[in-house]
Amino acid sequence: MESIKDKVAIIGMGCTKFGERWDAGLDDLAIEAAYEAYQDAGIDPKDIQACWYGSVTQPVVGIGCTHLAGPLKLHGIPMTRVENWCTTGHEALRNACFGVACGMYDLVLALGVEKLGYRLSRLGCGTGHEHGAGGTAHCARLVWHDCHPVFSHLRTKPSGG
Amino acid sequence: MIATRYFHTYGLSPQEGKRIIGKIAVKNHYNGSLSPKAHFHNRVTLEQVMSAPIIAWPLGLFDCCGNSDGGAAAVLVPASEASKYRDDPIYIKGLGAAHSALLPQNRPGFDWLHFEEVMNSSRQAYAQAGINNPREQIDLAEVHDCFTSTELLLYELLGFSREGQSREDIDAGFFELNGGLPVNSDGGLKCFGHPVGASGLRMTYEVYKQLQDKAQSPERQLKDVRLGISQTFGGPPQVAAVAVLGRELGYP
Repeated sequence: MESIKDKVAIIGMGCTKFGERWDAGLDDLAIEAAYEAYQDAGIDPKDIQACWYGSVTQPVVGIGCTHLAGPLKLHGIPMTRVENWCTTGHEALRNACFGVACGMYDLVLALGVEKLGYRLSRLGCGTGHEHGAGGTAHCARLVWHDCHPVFSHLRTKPSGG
Repeated sequence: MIATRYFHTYGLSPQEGKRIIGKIAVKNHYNGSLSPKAHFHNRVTLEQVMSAPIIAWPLGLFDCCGNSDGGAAAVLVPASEASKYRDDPIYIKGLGAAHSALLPQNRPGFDWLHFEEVMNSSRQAYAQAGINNPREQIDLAEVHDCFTSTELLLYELLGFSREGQSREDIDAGFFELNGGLPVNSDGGLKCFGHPVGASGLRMTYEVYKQLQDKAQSPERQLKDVRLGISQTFGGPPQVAAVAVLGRELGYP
């Protein structure tokens, strides 16, 4: 087995304020973390060539990355969603590293986001974050509606999400 | 299970056991109080931890991690191109991940103190990085303190303390900010919070910032850190992962 040692470098990272983020939906948290990382790296988000994204519960499983492709404006590139319990964030990092190490990509994003405080029942459809550019709320609403009809009314579904 | 079996195996009375894991909660809350982005910023005393309401004996309120919202992200490039972007890139030194094929309760003769997924994932990552003495070579670690008892056990499974010796290291302050191997310098899951899918990258963010000497304030910036790890452990539990990061090519 080969080693990953010294083959891949991190050039930027971001992390949101953690806590009960009543002010932010899942997409807002993704934007907050990703744009801090872009700024730290000094890159244009358009230069990202691939993204590995990890989330365990949000907004539901089985919808891939479509709910974040819009808010993050990751258009025309591959996005992969990973999930592996509490190691999910590491899985995103690990697989993104392999994407770079194999020579396929030169600039990739690894992302992990979760909302645990009050799953799906809040108005988690964007807060007009400047980077969201209005597409955020629209995208989230589509996802909500697609997942369960009750979500389109921005309510928790009967089983509690 | 981990806590009670640990206490039983190493001859700690319930009171002494709670005192030992309680010191982990005090440490992580102190570290979290210095981290601007942490979920909680309150410091707690050992007396508060020990007298807190019991959640699942022997774990009280302050032995359990935060239930938080949050996200974290990393931008990655080939190491050969990193210097084009910044003067202080952080290099991936090792990546380990492992499953155990069996639920803990189904493992024959399982003692609840030797989680193979943790040992296998760290063994992989250490071998790639060239770490043969984790206690001496690693300068900071972010580990999966979903409960204080988990952090207690991880000190030993990750090779920071010898088996049954975590107590001595905790009492000596070895894992505190000014100790020999600071663990969870940002407050950990306990105090920084645990939005599940984000935690592995949040830990990596802390290691990254510390290795760059860019922790948010001087009072929490660790000195002379060259190599750090982030580590997660989850499921029933049945999965674990480790990332080793360093600030210099070729080291160690």
